[in-house]
Amino acid sequence: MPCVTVDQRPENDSTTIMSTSKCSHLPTEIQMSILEFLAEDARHAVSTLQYDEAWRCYAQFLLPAILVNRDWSARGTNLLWREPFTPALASVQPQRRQYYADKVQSIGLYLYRQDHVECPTAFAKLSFPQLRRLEINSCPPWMKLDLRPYLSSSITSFTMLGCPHLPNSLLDLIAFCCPKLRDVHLDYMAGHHKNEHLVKFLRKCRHLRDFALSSQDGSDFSLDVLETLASRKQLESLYAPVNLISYHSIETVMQRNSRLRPFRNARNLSLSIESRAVRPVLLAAEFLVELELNLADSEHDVFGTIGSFSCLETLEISFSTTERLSIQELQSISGLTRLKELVICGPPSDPYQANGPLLIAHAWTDDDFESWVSSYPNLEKLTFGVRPIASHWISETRLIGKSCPELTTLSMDGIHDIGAWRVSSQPVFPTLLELELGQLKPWPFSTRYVGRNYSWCAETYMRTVLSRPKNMQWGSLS
Amino acid sequence: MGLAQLIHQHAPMLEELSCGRDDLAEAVEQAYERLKNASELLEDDVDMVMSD
Repeated sequence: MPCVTVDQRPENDSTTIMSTSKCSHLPTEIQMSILEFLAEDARHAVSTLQYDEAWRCYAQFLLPAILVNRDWSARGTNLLWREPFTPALASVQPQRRQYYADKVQSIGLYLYRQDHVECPTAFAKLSFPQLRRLEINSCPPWMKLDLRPYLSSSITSFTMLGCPHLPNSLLDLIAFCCPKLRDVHLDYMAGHHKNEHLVKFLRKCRHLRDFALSSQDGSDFSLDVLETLASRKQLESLYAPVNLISYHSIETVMQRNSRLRPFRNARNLSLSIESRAVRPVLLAAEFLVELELNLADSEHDVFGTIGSFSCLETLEISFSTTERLSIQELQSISGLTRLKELVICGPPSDPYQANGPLLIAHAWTDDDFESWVSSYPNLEKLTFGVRPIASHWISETRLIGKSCPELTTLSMDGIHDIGAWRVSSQPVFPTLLELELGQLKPWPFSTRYVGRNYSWCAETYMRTVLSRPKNMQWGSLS
Repeated sequence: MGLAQLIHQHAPMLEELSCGRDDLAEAVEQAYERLKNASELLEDDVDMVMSD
């Protein structure tokens, strides 16, 4: 058996490999590996393209493999049509359309696009027996969308966004026809009657692992929806950053079912929540890896509860009101040594209003800050929307660089004197890609600039530095 | 040493810099951008010399 190493082929020379007679008789699994490799290569090549251009480019990449012989053609065509550009399928001759529809595993109807609007009509008499993923986006109110062609029992992923006018019973139909659903994204929760259908839908989706609800109508989680989701043992991910979970809701749910251990197997949670509800909601979620909380108020401490989730790698807390954060509160999460991403931010402030609502560091010192930030040696992203009160940050950025050597993104509010970096003989941030600071302390990055205005400083600085960039030497810090 | 140069030396892989909305921030960001471009040109020159 000849050994073909795909990685050793000359670049852009797949035709040469495919046209050799030895290749045409390769065992199926090797053919599949080569095709998958080509497809992966093609996906990478078209990643910057969109829509029909991406599809055409993708097809061109796979064409050499499809042209080898009948065997390769069948497998290559299967691969090509596994995830087609939807209008491309609609443009196939009607008598050949089902042949390709049989191969489709993923389809998206983006009905806000003109070239997708005719697709439902073109697919009305088709079936998609191998469909795994279905997405329907922005169905216009005038369109009577018939989902029956798509509702295959093999579907595991379903997304429906921007379709508020579709009948409420649609979820019943989807749950009945697609019993293997694992991954669902809806923005469908509005009004009590629709919640009934949502609850029924959730109860029927027995294999649901990943559920996203992005309703923008501001409605709260209903008791039934919350109870159904919280009690799902298989649920690993819940993304619901908009619809509020109130303390009253979770308390009532817990009273109804005293044995309930909410979200016990959840790995990822993204919730909009009252601060008082954080403890009961997260009580049993000991396997959390990613946690995002949009706090509706700051009345109760949340750091103490969060500090017990030792598996956390990503933590994002957004406060909606002005809050004074004490270092003692932050010390509560210093046991989360696996953290790679930490975001603590206040409400979005008006960029033109310097004194907008913010998080305020209350009575912190450099030592306090260092002892806290040194708990996160694996941190790659730190967004810290905290501003100190009545004083400036002095050397926090340097302390962060010292404690978190793998940092790639740093965003900090407040005024910073980065002149403190000078005391380090090595780069403070050797891996940093993005740096965002609230404000730079305007003095005394050079004693020559003291007493001068900004424009003079800037002009002098630019003239000095830019006149001799080639003479710049690492280590000349004196 | 200037702020832009300090940033350039202590965060050598930096791709995006934002340091406020005042005049100083604007001046530093512009200077940093020019410094980075100059530095990249210099590196290209070195590469060419090395490859020769």
